[in-house]
Amino acid sequence: MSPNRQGRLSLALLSVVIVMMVSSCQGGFSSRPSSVDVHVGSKGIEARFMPSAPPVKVMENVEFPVILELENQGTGHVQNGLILFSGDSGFITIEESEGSFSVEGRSKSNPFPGKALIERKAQSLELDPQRQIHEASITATLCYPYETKAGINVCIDTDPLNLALRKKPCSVSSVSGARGQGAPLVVAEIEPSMIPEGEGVIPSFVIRLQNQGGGLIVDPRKVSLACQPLAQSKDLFDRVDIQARLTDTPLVCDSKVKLEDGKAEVECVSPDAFSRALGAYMAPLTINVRYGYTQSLKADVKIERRN
Amino acid sequence: MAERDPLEDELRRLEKRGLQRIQQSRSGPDPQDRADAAAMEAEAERAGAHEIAEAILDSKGLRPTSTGLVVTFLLAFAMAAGGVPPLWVAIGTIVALLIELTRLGSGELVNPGNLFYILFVVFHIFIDAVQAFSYGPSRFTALFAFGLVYWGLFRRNDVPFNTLNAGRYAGLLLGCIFMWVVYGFVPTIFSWLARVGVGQEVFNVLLVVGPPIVLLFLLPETLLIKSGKQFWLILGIIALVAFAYNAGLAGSVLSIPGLQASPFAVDRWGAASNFGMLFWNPIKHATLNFYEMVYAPACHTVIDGLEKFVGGESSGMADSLCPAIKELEAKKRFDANASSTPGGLAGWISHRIDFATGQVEETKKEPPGVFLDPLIAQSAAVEGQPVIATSQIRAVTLDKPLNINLFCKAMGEKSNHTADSITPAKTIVVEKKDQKGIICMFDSLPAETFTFLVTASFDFKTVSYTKSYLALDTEISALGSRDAWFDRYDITERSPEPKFTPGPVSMGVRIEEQQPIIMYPKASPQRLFINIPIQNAYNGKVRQINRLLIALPKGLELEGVFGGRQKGDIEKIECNQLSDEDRRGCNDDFFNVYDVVVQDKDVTGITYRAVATVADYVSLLSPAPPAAQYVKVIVDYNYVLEQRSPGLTIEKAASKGLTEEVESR
Repeated sequence: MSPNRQGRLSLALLSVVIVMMVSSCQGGFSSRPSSVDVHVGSKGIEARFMPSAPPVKVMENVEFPVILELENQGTGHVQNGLILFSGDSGFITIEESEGSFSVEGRSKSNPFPGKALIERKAQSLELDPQRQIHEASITATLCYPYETKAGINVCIDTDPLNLALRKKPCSVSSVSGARGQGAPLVVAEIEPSMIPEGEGVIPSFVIRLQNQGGGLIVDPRKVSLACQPLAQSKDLFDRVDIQARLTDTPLVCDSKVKLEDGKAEVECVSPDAFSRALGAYMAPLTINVRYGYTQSLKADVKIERRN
Repeated sequence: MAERDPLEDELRRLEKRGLQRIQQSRSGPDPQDRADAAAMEAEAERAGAHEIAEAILDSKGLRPTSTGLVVTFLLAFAMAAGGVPPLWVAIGTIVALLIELTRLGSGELVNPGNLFYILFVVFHIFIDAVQAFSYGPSRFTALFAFGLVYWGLFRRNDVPFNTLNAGRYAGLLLGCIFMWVVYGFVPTIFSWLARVGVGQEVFNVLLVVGPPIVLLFLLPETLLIKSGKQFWLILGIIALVAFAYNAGLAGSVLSIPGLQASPFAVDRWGAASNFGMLFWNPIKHATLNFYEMVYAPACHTVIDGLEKFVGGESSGMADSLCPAIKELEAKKRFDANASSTPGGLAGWISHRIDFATGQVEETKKEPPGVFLDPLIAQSAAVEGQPVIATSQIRAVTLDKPLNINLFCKAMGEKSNHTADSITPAKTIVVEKKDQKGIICMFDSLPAETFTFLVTASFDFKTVSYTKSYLALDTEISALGSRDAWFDRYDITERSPEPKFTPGPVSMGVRIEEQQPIIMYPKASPQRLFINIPIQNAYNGKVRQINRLLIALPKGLELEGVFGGRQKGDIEKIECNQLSDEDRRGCNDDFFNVYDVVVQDKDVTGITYRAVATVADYVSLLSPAPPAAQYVKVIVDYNYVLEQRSPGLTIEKAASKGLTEEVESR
């Protein structure tokens, strides 16, 4: 084989290898995090007791593990969330019934849910005379701050009466956010309206929020109170803080937002009028809702007498 | 210009009305009416026009009854049944009260029967005193104050009863407002609002006593007052209320000891609460049927029609204004409970009675207890020869060995005989589980017909416990409702039932509070009433209840136990003071334990009532929510099982001479 031919063959082989390498890399890139939209869904922290921790059945007077697995399916990062464990008084004791946890949320750079394991030692106590079985339960309660970030393009029409007789690239209409934004509190719908003001309009948005998770919304300034049974105040639940921006303009939103039956409507209005000369165009509306969240879950444990 | 005297105006009005009535009667076809009218006319001449009106009302049996009261009751029932929105009831009741107040104020209802308002007040002051002001001193003070005010205004001797007078008007008005609005109506409505919301059946004194009081108003009150027998009326009202309090309010410590053994005691068939059920179910179903079939569809049609008329689409407003479905959730839960019991109303009532004790707890092995098989005597016997009767006993115990004392007896028409020997022994000891044959031997019995009896007596313990959820008032307030609290903590068992260990008695321990029990730290001392009903469950007898060991969660202190014959003081003890057997499961870190020695004999059913005070709510709510606390009671008693055989006739033995002759042959 001539060196020339050998060189060409080597080149061809090298090309095949490179193509294979590149294609394998491309295969990897095709599932790159950047292509995953993490801001969907209505899940936040999903908590579950590990199988057999606690066990379904234990004998009296034994120590057993309680392990709670937390998986942050949402996009909020939780730092210093609180956790409480409680069991049937006089039948189960749990070491360190109070504690804290942190768990990262999903992001573009890491679309996989953050996880945390919380482990405690529990002890079953002796049963009363004549008794053979006691059905007890262990409850874990989580309280943590969370947030919902929604970025939605909305149509701004500065000439709603079409006085300029121009063809418009978009029309003002409600935008659904029912798919969720990667948090239990969902921006379910945005209803824009353009309020004529002088030679332009003032954009106004009715933002509909809905708690689609299994827990309760807590005032973001009082999250820790929700896990302190002796320090709960009347306005603790169903309160949120909301901020919204239209492109770079901060909107003025209702300051006191309270959910009723898990739902709330908030009106956010632009502080300034938009000139008619701008016409109709799509603009990003960014909504940031801050709140606390609390949820509980329960595991049943059957305590059996030894003899 | 001289002012007109309102009294004169009133008299003129009455005169006019009375004369119209007389005129109508005189011209009427009925000779009796005409005669009555003539008599009334004569009376009118004697007594004046005001009395004429009174006389007419009396003669026609038209002494006014409290229509407003009846309406109030009916509305309250309707709402209790879960079928009418509270707002409507509130509006209806206010209207009814206004009617009532107007009638009282105008003098229509003034008669000595109204004194029963005062009696109600006095009675409730008495109850508060008995219950050691468990509702708080403010309630007592309020009752006392308005009782005094009402009495002071109403009893003015210088003002004749049948004269319209501002002082009396004010007195009646005050009394009525105090009784029906401040004291009677508002707390009742609030209580119902809270209870109906979680679907629990509503039982309170109003439901139990309400219908009879309505009847009392409609019928005998008029007659009794007319005949001057107010004393019997008052006595009847006191008896009625006492009856209801004895049996209707299970949480009340006010009980009449003599009634405990009667069919009218708590949880017995004659209890006021069961009578309440008789009224409850028909009213509930009638109201709800009307609601479902007539009201809700009509309301929807009207609201939807209005919305369309205004030009919009249906916005769902009808759902909120005609809350048929929402309001009926309570009914569905109620019916779900009721339908799980057989036999309609009777079944429901008997279910309630069973329910009062609790449920037997699950066991993984054979349940503890003692069982005695029927006694079988030999089929034939001859005078002077040994006779035996046999049975079998099975016993299971989990803790200390059971000592079972056996006793056999032959009961004849003329004589009774105790067995000469019992096999295996007169006292048998069962360590864990045993089954033994029993032979009762009578060496010789005379010729007559005997029934044989075997009894097994033993000391036994039954443990009952109940789980209670506790929540702080501020947390419930923040969440909005009890249901929301349960939802928050993922709790599905919202009314935990008391449970008890298997054995000869059934038993329940129940804190008479809706769950979760709300802790009010600012309203201390808060009291909780604990019912401990005990009933015979086997075919034997509870010979004596000896002792109750009551374990309350740390933070609750026992104040007293009522309803039984107590011997000595209640003693707070520590676990190490208990016997090995009783010490099992006892933990001073979690429970306050009280030893109550009692001496109640031959018990078929008894209810002890314990009063506990919240001494430390932080302990009760610790370490973390949801606080699930237990109240446990161990009852120690002596039980007797018995079995009887069918009759056995002992034949006469053949004569001695004849016997010898037979033998010699």
